[in-house]
Amino acid sequence: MKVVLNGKEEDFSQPLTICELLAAKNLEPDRIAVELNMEIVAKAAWTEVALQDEDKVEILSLVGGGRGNE
Amino acid sequence: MNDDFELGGATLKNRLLLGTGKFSSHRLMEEAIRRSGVQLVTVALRRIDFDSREENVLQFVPPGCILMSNTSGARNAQEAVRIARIARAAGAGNWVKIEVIADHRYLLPDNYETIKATEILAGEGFVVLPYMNPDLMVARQLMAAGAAAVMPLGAPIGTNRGLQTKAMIQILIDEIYSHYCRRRYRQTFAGG
Repeated sequence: MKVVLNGKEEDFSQPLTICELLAAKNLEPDRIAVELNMEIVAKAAWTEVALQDEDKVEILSLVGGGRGNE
Repeated sequence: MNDDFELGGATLKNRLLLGTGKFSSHRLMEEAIRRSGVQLVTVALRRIDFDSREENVLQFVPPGCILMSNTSGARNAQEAVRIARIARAAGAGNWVKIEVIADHRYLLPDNYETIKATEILAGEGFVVLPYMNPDLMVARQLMAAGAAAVMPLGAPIGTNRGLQTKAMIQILIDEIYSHYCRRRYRQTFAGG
């Protein structure tokens, strides 16, 4: 299964949920946001939403900012 | 003398709004927030870089400090709205500094797209502070669209030219602030 993750194509050998994707990437589920095909996925749904082939996933977090055009 | 700073429904004791993007470390930023007593800091949203992890900036912002995410990178209203919604989902709360910049030479804001984004996000319960070119008509439209305050530019970003738009900003202070004061007076003393 191919998924575009933060702009880069990645292969996964088996289907996985958003929660499993985060675990595979060693990401703590706190203080991050997940967007699937341009739609925000609520945290409560991360254990249920399964990724499909060619899905586009964005995982984002807050960083220091506020110097104008970063 | 009461010198409270009322902004977006919050009453701040400190008038400094601090950007967090220029510190050499999160620990230094934390120290600056603590020592200055600042109560509102701006943050930005970024894709997580899986190859180069860094500690989450939120861990270093003291509890009670308001986070205001910006929409840096947005080129139109639609992108600004998307960024603001994601930032809220990532823990930024309801405060947003709208930055819509399509011009990458002077980094000047697009006032028309900013008004559109303001209307949408204010309607969704965000406390909206739009970065804008200091124009009175635009400022009035932003307030009508639900902006909590406007953030007029003093000079093109990064030019270190100081306050170049003073006369235009003075007009905003005279007109927008006096409008705000009249409204507060009516609310306080006339019940309306």
